Amino acid sequence: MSRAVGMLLVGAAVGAALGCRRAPAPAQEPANLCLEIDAPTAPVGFDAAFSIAARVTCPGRGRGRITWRQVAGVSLRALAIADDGFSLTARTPTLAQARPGPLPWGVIPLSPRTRGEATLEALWNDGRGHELRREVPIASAPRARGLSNTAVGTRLYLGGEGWHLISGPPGSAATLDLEPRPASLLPDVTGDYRLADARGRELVLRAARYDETPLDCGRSGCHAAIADAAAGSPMTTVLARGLGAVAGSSSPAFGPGYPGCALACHATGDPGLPDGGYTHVAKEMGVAADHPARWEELPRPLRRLGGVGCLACHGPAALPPEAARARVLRADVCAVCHDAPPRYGHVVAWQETGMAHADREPRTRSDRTCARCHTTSGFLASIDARADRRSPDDAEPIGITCAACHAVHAHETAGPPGALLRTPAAPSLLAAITADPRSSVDPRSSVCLPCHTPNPEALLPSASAAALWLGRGGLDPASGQPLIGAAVHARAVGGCVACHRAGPEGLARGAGHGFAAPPTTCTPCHAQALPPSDLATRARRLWETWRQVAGTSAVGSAPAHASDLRLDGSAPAHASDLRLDRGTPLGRAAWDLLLVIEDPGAAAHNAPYARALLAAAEPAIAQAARIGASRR
Amino acid sequence: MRWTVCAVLTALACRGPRPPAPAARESPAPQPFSCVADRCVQRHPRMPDDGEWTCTDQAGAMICVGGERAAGVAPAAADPAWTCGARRGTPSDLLGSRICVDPSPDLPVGERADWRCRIVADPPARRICDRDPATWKLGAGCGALHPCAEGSDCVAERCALRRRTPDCWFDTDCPGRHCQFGSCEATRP
Repeated sequence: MSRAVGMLLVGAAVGAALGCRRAPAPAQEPANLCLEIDAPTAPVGFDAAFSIAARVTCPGRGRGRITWRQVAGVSLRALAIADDGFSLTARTPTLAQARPGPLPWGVIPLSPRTRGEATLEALWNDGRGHELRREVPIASAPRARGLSNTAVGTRLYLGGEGWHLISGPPGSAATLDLEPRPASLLPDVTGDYRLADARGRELVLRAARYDETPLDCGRSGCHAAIADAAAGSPMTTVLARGLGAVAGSSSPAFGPGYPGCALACHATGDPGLPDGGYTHVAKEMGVAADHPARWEELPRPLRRLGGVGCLACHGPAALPPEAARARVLRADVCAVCHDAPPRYGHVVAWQETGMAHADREPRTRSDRTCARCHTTSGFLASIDARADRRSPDDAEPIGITCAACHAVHAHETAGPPGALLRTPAAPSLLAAITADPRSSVDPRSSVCLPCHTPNPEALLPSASAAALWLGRGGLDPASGQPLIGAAVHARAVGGCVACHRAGPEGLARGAGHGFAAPPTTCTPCHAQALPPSDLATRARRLWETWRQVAGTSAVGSAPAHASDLRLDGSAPAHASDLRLDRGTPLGRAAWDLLLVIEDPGAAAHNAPYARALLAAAEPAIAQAARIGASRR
Repeated sequence: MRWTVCAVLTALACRGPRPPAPAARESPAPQPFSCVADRCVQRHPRMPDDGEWTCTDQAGAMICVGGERAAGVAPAAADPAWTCGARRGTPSDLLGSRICVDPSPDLPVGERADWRCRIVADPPARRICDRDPATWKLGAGCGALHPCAEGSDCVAERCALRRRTPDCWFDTDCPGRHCQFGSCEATRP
C-alpha cells in the first residue's frame, strides 16, 4: 500500500483526496493556512498504523496545543496523541470492522462507507482565544466497484481463499499480498492479471490507466445509441454544468468552492491515486484539479475524464471477460459515490428494502418467470426485449439494483431532473388506465408497475399492489368480466413514491430509497387516523373457506393440491404450484382473493376496491360450498 | 490501440441529432514537456477535439485521422488551432473519416526547426520530440537556393504549411496522387 505522505494545505485538497463528507464549502479562510498538517493522502490499508504531524506556520502565532476528535467514519484504533497534539498516531479499522458481513468472491466492492474511511478534526488553540480548525480524512482502501476492470495504482482486495497470481502483464512487478488478510493486489502496469483461488477458480483483472483507455464505446456496431443518449446525461455533464459550461459565465454554476471535494464523484478516478484519473492527470499537467475553471478552458485530457463517463462506472481497460460483465449491474458500482452516509444514503436505504434481497432464493434466479421481477438482469431483459443478461449460474444474489429503475445512460426520463427513472411500457392490465390522461397516473410510477401488477395470463396473481392501487385486475366470479374499481389514489403526486418515500433517519439524501410508507404519509390527506383494516383477516378467512371447498373433489374446479396452498407467511402465494382454473366461478373467486392477499398494503392502496374483490368472491365461494354439500 | 471506426456521415445518419456544439474558443495553453538531454516527452499531446484520434508528426506538422466522438464526455468546442476536413472516398480501414492538421503543434523550448517529433500510441501514449536540427522540417529557412518541400510554401524566408483543407491519410486516399501533410498532392516530388 502506498504510504505517500504529502503536505495538505487547504481543506478543499483534503476533501478532494477522499470525497465530500459534507457539501463543498467555500475555500478555507486564510487563517487556516497557518495550520499545516502532514497526513497520508492515499489509502493506508486496513488494520494499518498511520501518523499525522501538525505545525503552526504563521508568524506571531504561539505554539498552543491541538485537540483531536474523530467526527466521521469507522472508529480508529490505538489513537495516541503526543507533543501537545502536534503528533497523532492511530490504526485503521480491520476490513471486518469497516465492512461487516460475508465477503463476496473476487474483487471486494468498497464504498466510502465500507472502505474504512474516517475523518479527524484538529482544533488548535493558542490559549489566548485564537482557534484554527481543520478536518483530516483518512481511508484504509481505495473505493472499488467490485468489477474485474480496474485502474493501475489502485489496490484491490479479494474475497475468497487461497489466491495466487498465475500471470501478469509484461513489465509488471506486482505481487499478491496475502497478509494482512484478505489478499490484495496493486496492479502496476496496463494488462491482464490472471489469478486463481484455492479451488482453481480463475479471476482475470483488466488494468489500465483511465486516461489511456479509448472512449470509443459509441462506434457503430457497438454502443452508438447508448453513447448518444449518454452525451446529454446529467451524469456525463455534471462537471461541465458545475463549472459553468455556458459561454460568458464567470462563476461556477454549482457555486463557490466547486468542484473541490466533489471531484471524487463528479470526475473519473480516485483522487490521491496514480490511476490516470482526473486529479492524477491534472497533477501531471500542472493544473490545479480543484481550481474552478470553465469547462471549455480545461485541457482535453481533463475534459475526457470530467463527469461520470463510461469508465467511471465500467472501469478502465479492455472489455471485461464475458462471465464478468453482469457484475456491472450490482449496486456496488453506484455505491462508490452513493454510499456515503450521512450525506448520500441511497444504498444504505435501499439495503433495507425487500428489493435488495429479491433474488436471495436460488429459484428466483434460475426460474425465468421469477427472474423477470426478482433479478435485475431479468427485469431489464423483460422491459427492453434485449438479450437476457442473466448472471452466471454461480453468481451471488444482488437484488433489484439501481440499474433496474434508473436508466443511467439516458438523458430524458421520467421524474425529477437527474433521477433518470426508466419508463417501461405499462403492463397489459394497466395499459388503458395509464394511457388515459384523466387518470393522471404519475409517470414516475411507470418503473414500479411491471413488477407490481399481475400478469392476467399467469396461473396465479402475483405482487398485485399496483393493480389494486389503480382498481384493476379483479374478475367477476360469475361472468368472468373484469372487475373495475375506482383508483382512489391514482392522482397522488409522485405516484408510488408519493407514499413510499421513507427510509432510515439521519440521511441527507437518498433516504427515500428505503421505499417505506409509514402511516404518517397518509396524514396530509387523512387527518384522522385510519381505522385498523380487517381486509387481510377477512381475505385469509375466505381463503381458508375456499381451500376447504376446493379441496372437496366433488367441486371439480380446482386441482387436488390446491388445498396445499397455506398462507403461513413462509412464501408468497404466487410462489406455490397452485394452478387456478379461471374458467370457473370458484377459480375466479380465488383469483380475486389472492389479489388482495398478495398485496399486504391493500387497505392503503385501495381499500374500496379490495373490499369489492372480497365481496365478489364471497358469494361464489359460498355457492360452491352449497353445491358441494348437496352433492355429498 | 486506439482504433476509430465510424464515418462521420454514417454517424450522423444513424445517431440522430447531436447536442449543440459550444461556441468556438481560444486554443488551449501548450501542454508541458518533460525533458532529459535532447529528448522531450509531452505526456498529453493536443488533439483536434475530445474525440478519438490517431495522430502522427510529419516534418513539424501534426496530422490526425479519426473523429469518433468520445463516449460519455460532455460536449466542448474543437481546438481552433487545427484545420479539419473530410477524408476522401470511403476508407476501408477503421481509422476514421476526418483529417485534421495542426501546422504549429506544441514544441519544447527553442526553434521549431530544431525538433523532430513523433507520437507513440502504445501506453503510455505520448509525443516524443528529439532535438534534430539537421532534418528538414516546417519552419526551416528557405529561399531560391533552398526550396521548401512539397505541400509547403516559402513565406518570409521560412517554410510554412500550405493552407488547404486536409483530406487524406494514406496515399491510397488520393487515387493517382499521393498524400502530403494531410492533403492530396498532384505530383510526386
